[in-house]
Amino acid sequence: MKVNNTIVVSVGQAGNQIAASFWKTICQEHNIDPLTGQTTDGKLPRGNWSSFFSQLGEGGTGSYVPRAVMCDLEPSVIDEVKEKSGSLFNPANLMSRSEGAGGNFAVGYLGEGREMLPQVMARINSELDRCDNVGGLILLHSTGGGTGSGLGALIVEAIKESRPEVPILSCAILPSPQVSSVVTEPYNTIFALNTMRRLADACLIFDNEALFELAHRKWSIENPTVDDLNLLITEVLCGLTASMRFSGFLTVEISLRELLTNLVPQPSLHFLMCAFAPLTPPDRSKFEEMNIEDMIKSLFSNDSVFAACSPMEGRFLSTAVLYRGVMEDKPQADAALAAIKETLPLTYWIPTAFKIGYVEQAGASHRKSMVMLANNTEISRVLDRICHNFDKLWQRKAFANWYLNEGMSEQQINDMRASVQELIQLYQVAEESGAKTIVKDEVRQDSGYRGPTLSAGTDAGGSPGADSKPQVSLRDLVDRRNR
Amino acid sequence: MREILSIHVGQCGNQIADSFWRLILKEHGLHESGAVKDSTLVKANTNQEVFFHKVREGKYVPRAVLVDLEPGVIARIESGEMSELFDEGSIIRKLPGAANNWARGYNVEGERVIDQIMNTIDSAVEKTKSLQGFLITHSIGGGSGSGLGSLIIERLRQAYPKKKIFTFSVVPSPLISDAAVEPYNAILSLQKIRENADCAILLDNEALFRIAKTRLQRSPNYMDLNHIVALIMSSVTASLRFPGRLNTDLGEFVTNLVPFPGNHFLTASFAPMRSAQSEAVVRTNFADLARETFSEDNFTAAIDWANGVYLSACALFRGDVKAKEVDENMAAIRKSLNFASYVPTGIKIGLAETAPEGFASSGLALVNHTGIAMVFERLLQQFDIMFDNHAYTHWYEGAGVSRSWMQSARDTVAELAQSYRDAG
Repeated sequence: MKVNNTIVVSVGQAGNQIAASFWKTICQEHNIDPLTGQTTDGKLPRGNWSSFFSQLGEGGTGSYVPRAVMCDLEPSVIDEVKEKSGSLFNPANLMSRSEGAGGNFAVGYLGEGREMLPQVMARINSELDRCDNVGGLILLHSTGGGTGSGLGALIVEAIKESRPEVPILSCAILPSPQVSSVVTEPYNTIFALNTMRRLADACLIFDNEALFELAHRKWSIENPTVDDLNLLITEVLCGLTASMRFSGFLTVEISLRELLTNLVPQPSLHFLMCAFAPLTPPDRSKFEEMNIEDMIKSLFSNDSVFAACSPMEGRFLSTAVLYRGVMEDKPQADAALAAIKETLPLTYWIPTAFKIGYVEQAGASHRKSMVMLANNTEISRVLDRICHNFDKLWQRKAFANWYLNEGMSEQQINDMRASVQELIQLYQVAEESGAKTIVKDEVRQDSGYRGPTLSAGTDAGGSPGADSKPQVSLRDLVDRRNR
Repeated sequence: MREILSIHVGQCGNQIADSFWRLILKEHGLHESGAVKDSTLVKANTNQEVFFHKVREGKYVPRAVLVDLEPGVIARIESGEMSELFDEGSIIRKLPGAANNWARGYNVEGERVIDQIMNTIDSAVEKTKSLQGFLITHSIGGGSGSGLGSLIIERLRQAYPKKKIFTFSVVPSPLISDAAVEPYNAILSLQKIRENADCAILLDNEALFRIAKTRLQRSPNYMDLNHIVALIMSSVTASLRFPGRLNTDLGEFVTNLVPFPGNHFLTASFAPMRSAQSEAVVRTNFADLARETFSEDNFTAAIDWANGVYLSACALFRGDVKAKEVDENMAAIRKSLNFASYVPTGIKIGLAETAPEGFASSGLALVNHTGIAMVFERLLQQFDIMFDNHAYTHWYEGAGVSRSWMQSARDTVAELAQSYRDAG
C-alpha cells in the first residue's frame, strides 16, 4: 500500500528530546515495541505504519525503523537517546559532535554546524531515497539554542536547494525566560525565524512561555520542567500526524501537503499556532473525559493555545481541526464547530475558514482528543515579544561579538531583524484586511462583493482613528512579493 | 444490451462505490464475490450485463473503474468482503495524492496516471456490446475527485463524444467546510462538468445528513449518507436493469431533463428513506410515497426553492406500484409544483418492477430547478472573496493553474448561475 512517507529530522537538545518522546508514543500507537522496533508475534503494526517507519524488504519480518534523523552538535542528548531506545533507531541516523554550539546561532550556522552538514544531509537524502512517496519533512528544533537554530536553518536551506519539491514543516520551540536562561536566545530566534520565513513551507510555533503556563495551570504542576512541556508538544505532534498514520475507509489521510494547502493562504503567511484538547493531566485522563462541545470550546479559547497570545483578539486566517477518537462524534463536533464559527474573529476573505480531519484510532493518552492548528494574526504578538527582547540586546550590541566573531556582519543582522519586522507587518495587514467582515453588507450594497477596498471599511466605520493608518492592502503586499 | 460503465474517483467517490456495489449486488442476487447467490433472481432478470461483465457461468465482474490517488478507501474495499469482486486491472491506486489541490489532481498527479486510467477505461469499454454511457462518482471539493475527476471527464468526452456522461458530484456543504480551498476546487470542477458532462446530479453532505437524520430518527453515520446516494444511483438505472412498463434510459433522461445545453445540473430525491439496517420490508401507500419523493426537504442539495421554478422533472417508481395510482397522484403533484411557464408537459415517469432490497416500493425524483443557482452563487461568492485577495492562489499557480484559468472557470460558473436565474 502506498502512503505518503514523512521524515522527522530533529536538531539540537530540545528537538531530540521531543523526537524521542514522539517516537516512543507513536511506536505505542502502532503497536511497535519502542526498544526493538518489532511487533509482538510478528503481527503487522497498526495503521499505515509505512508513513513514519521503513522496513527492509517487502513484507518481511524485519524491524520497523523510524524515518528519523537526529543530530546535535554536542553528544549528551543523542547518547541518552541511544541508551534508552534500544535498537529502535538506525544508529547511523543518530549523529553528534563533541563541541556544542554554545548557544550561538553563528556556530550552528557557520562554524561547527556547516562542518556537520554534509554528514546530516547524507542521512536525510538516504531516508528520502528510501521513501515510496515523499510526503514531507518535519523539522523539530528549538530556536533559542545554537544548534536547533543554526544547524536547523542550515538543513532547511540545504534541503530546499537540492529537493525544493519536498514540503517542510518546521516545528519551532520558541524560548521563554521562565524555562531557560540562555541570554542570547532572542538573537538565535530572530536568525532562525528568518530562514523559516524564507524557506520553510510552514512553521508551527510552540511557545515555551505559553507551554509553561499550560503545564502549570491545566496540569497543575507547581514547577513544570522541560519534560512536562515536551509532553504537551508530543500530544500535538501525535495528533497532527495521526491522520497521516491512520487512514481508513471513512477517515482519509491528510498529508502534510494537504494541511499546508489549507493552512497557508499566502506563501509568506505561514506561521502557525496550535492548541490541544482535552488538557486533562495525563495521569487523570483515564478517569475524566471532556465532552465534544467543551473540547471545541477549549480549542478556541485564549488560555489553551500553545503560544503566548490571545487568538480570539486577533484574526483567524485559516484553521485546521483534527479529531481523534470515536467516529460517531464527527457530526456532533461539526455542529459544535459550526456554532463556534459564528463567534470567532474570522477573516472575511477566507470564508470557508476550516479544514476538518478525523481519525478513528485513539491516541495513547486520551480516548478522544482534538488538535487545532491555526494561522492566526496574533502570532505577530509572539514575534513582537522576541523582537523586543532582541532590540534590548542589539541596541547595546550586547553579546554581539560572539556572532560577529563567527563571521556574521552587522548589516546581515540588521537585515534579519528587519525581515522579521516585515513578517509582523504582514500579519498586521492581514488582520486589518480581514476585519472588513464587519462592513461586508455595506460593501456589497455599494459595489457588489467584487473587490471591496479598505477605504470602504473606514467609510462605513466612520471612525477618524482608522483613517490615519497607512492604506496598505494585502494586494499591495502580494505585488511587492512578485516584484 | 446497453451497458453502463461506472467510474469512481477519489476518496468520496470510492466510498460511494462501496455502498453502491453492495446494493447492486443484492439487487441482482449476487454474492460479494460476484458469484451467484440467488439463481432465481439472476434468471428472473436478464439485464445483469448492464452493470456486470459475465466472465464465466456464475461469476460476474462489475463494469467499474476505481481510481484514487490516496489508497485508504480502495484498500478497504480490496481487503473487505468485496475483495474478489473487482477486476484487479480496473483498480488504479497511485502516488501521493492531490493534497486538496485541484491543480495537483488535474495537472501534477493527473498527468502521471491519466494514460493508464484511459487505457483501463478503453479495455472496459471493449467488453461492452453497446455502451450507453458512464456514471462517475466523485466529490468536487477535495483534490483527487475534483481535479483528477475533471481530467477524466474531459478525456472521456474527447474519446467517447457520443456516450452519455452522468456525474454524481458531492459539492461542498453550505455550513461547514471540510477544506478551506473547497470553493476553488469546486468552481474549477464545475467548469469542466458544465463543458463535458451530460448530466450532473449534485449532492451535499449536509443535505444528505439532514435527510438521514429526519428519516432515521437517530444520528446518522457516513454509511447512511452513502447508502442514500447508492439508492439514488440504483434507481436512476433501475429501468435499464429491470423489466417494467415504462422504461427510461440515460439518453431519455437527458432529453427530458435538460432544456438548454449546459443547464444539466440536477438534484435528486429518494423515498421512502429508511435505515439501511432495518429488517422489515418497508411498505408505503403510493400517495405518501409520491409526496415524499417530491418533498422539498428530501432533495440532496441546498436548492433555493422559493426563488426558482422547475424546468423539468423525472420520476421513477419501483416495485409494487399501480399505473392507475401513478396517473392519479402524479397529476396532482405536477399541479402543486411551480414549473416554468414555458414548460408545458408533465413529469416524465418511469416504472420498474423490482424495488430495492428491503422496500416494497420506492420513488426517485430527478429535478432540474432554477434554484440550483444558489449552490453556484454561494461558491462563487466565496471564490471571489478569496480570489480577489489572492488567498491560496499560489498553490494553484504552483501546480500549473494560472489566475486567468481560474478567472475563466469563475466566469463559466457565473454564466451558468445567471443562465439558471434567467431561465426562471
